[in-house]
Amino acid sequence: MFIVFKIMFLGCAIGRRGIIYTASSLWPCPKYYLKHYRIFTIAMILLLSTAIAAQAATVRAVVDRNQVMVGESLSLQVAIEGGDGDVDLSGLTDFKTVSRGSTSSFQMVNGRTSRKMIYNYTLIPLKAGELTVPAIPVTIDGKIHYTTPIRVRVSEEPPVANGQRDVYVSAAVSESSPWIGQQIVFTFQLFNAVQVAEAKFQPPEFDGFQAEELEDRKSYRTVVNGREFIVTEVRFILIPVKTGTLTVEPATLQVGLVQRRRRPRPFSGMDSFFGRTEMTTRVLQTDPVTVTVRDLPPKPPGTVFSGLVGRFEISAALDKTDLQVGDSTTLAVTVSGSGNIMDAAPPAIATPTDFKSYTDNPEESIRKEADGYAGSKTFRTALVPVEAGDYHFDPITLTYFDVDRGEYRTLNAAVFDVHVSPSATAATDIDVFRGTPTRAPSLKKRVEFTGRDILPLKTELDALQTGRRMSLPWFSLLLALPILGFAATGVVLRMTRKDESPGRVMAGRARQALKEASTHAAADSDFLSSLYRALVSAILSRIGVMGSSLTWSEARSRLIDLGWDEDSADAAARLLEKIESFNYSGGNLDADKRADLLDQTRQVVRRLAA
Amino acid sequence: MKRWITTIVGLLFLFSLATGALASEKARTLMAGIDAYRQGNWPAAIEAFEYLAKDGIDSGPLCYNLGNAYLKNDDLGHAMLWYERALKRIPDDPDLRFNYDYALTLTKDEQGEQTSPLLRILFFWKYRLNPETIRWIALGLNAVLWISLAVLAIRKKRLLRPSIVLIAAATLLFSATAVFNYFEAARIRHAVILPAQVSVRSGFTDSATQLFVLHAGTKVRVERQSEDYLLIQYTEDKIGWVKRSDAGII
Repeated sequence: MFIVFKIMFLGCAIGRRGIIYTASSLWPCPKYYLKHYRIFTIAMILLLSTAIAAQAATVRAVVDRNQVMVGESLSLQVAIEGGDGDVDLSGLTDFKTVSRGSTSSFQMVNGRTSRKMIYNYTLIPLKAGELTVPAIPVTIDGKIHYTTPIRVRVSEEPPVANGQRDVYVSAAVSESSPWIGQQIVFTFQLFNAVQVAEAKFQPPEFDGFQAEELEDRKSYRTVVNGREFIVTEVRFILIPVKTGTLTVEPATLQVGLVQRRRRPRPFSGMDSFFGRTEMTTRVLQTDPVTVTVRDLPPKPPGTVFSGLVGRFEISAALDKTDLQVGDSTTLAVTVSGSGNIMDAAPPAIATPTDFKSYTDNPEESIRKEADGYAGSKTFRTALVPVEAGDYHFDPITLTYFDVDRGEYRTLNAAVFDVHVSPSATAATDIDVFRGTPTRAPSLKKRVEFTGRDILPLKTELDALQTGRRMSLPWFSLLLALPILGFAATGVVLRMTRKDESPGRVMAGRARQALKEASTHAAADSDFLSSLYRALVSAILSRIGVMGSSLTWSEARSRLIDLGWDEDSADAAARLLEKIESFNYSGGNLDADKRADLLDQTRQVVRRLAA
Repeated sequence: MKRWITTIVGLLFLFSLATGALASEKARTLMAGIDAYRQGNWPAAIEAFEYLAKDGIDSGPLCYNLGNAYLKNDDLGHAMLWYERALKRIPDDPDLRFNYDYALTLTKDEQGEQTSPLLRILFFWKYRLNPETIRWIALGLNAVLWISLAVLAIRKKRLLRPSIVLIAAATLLFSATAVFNYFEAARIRHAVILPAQVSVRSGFTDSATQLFVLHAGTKVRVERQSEDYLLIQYTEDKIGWVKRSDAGII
């Protein structure tokens, strides 16, 4: 006996005027029953949760059939009873898997509850043979459960005439041996005699071609072997970009076939009434298509190939042939036809040197038609004469490769004769800049590759020399070297810097002055000045101050401060006074006197220097 | 004593003969490879150049030659790998740039990891100059900086000070970039997909989920390496494992 509960609002009570309503019992009950009702509800919840917890989870995988043909699909269901989990299909390497969603249900069977999750997949076999759906791991609450492996026999599709199949695909190109640059059309066709849905089309890679899909997909009905099919066409314009034998890989279409149920079900007679059908997924592939691309023959000498391949025409029109100097006329050159019209470059116009030309942007009108690109490209040039006269325009030529004839073809546009009369306006008023007469009109254009290849090998023996790259330690060392040099310079500077303290400077002066005094040639005044300077400098050097004069009393007190006894200080001070008095009295000094003074001064200086 | 000198001179002579012989053998192998290439025997050219590379010759021109030979042999993955290796060694070589650009047009996948245009503008010197040039500029500026500082210390010219600040800033900038380049070269590894098509998976096994597919010649960043697999990053949101044999580390 099945009793299915939908658990909702259990134990939820609503009170109103002493009468109690519960969600599971909408009948009003007296208040005194409420206590018993709550106990019952709690007991039910505990019972249910215990039952759910006690039930161990199981997993199961089933397929709808074990025998399929290549391209057919089968359904796989992974059922998890007693919980939910993660299904890992990474082991199904022999099949392409498509998820079809999941369903869940909650059941109570004879007082036992269970939850069931079902995950649905469509499996498409990737090859024929005895394939196995391996044990699928399902992780439930951190524990891995495995399904039982299933064997599936996949047989090759028997060769059946296209008209006898329900659905099939084909692919073809409009020209199997085109010239390089010639546009061809690749047509993919889906023939279906039954209803199809959820079609997913994967076009080929088209290696070696420039490919563009024609936007409008055609659909029509046709009869094959007496059976009516709906044909859906997808077309691509292909332009081969390299020569040789090129293969267009198979195009793939994954499609769902809408069919009536295969297995009889109870009340199956009602299927047609209720529209009960099932969908099987199939993968259809076209055969590879081989295209042999021919290289263009060498162009005839003296011709300038425009790069156009196809069928083209050229026309030219000049809006005025009778002009005045300074008037403008427009030359329109139109290239039209089918092929790589978008690559058409401005044609060379041999403008007379007395004309100034101004080119306009080309006007394009290119359509994608059933057999490829077609349309026209118009190049307009404004021409302004700067000199009166009669001029002749040479024909404008276009050399293209005619794919029908298999040869280069040169077309000529119209020839013009233009009469230019003098302008009513003074020539100086015409605002036209005349180009250098000897220079040909500029026909510069962007240089494009006409062929692609790589540059040659490096044949020098340098290739055998391992390149030395600076390592990080070396870089750091080289970075640190100037810093070390800077530091070393600082050290050297400090070591070689002269001591320029006042004491040392004054001592130097004392020595210098004594040296000057020792010179025999010195005059008396110079001699005495030198002695005075020597004594004062020597005293001040000991004190460590700069200066140039001292009175005898200052000299005495400074010497006593330096630790000299009073007699010695007196003697030195008197010597200083004596030198000063000789200097200011201006009397002559004999040699003995000079020697005596020099000797005394030297002794004082030496004592102070000691 | 005389006997010792004679022995040492004799040994040196023999050593020079041996190295000369080795060098000429390598030169012969290189020439054989070049001849094979010219005759259209690409596998033989690859074999000769790879022999030299395995023998320890690590030069930009050799990597370039290998790239050419692989490209001619229709092995785009290996060609891109060797061109990338050559770019590390001779980044400014015009022939290499031309062939590399041509090979890039043959790859099927869009370029994955790309530097932000803002970064390319802000740190233009890093992207415009090759690492070797940046290193030498840093060293030159550093030398000029410290010489200027020494002159300033000796001559005490105040006029020098603004220039020294500018030189110091430039030195810092280029030295930091050079160090970053070292870091980038040591820590950030790139690889190139070698086979025509590779499934990038979520795990180490062939049965792991295929996350996305990459094609020959696509450059990816190597995030981690295990014994047999590499964890690669194609773009910020595309990361997965490939076999070591399916990707060549640059």
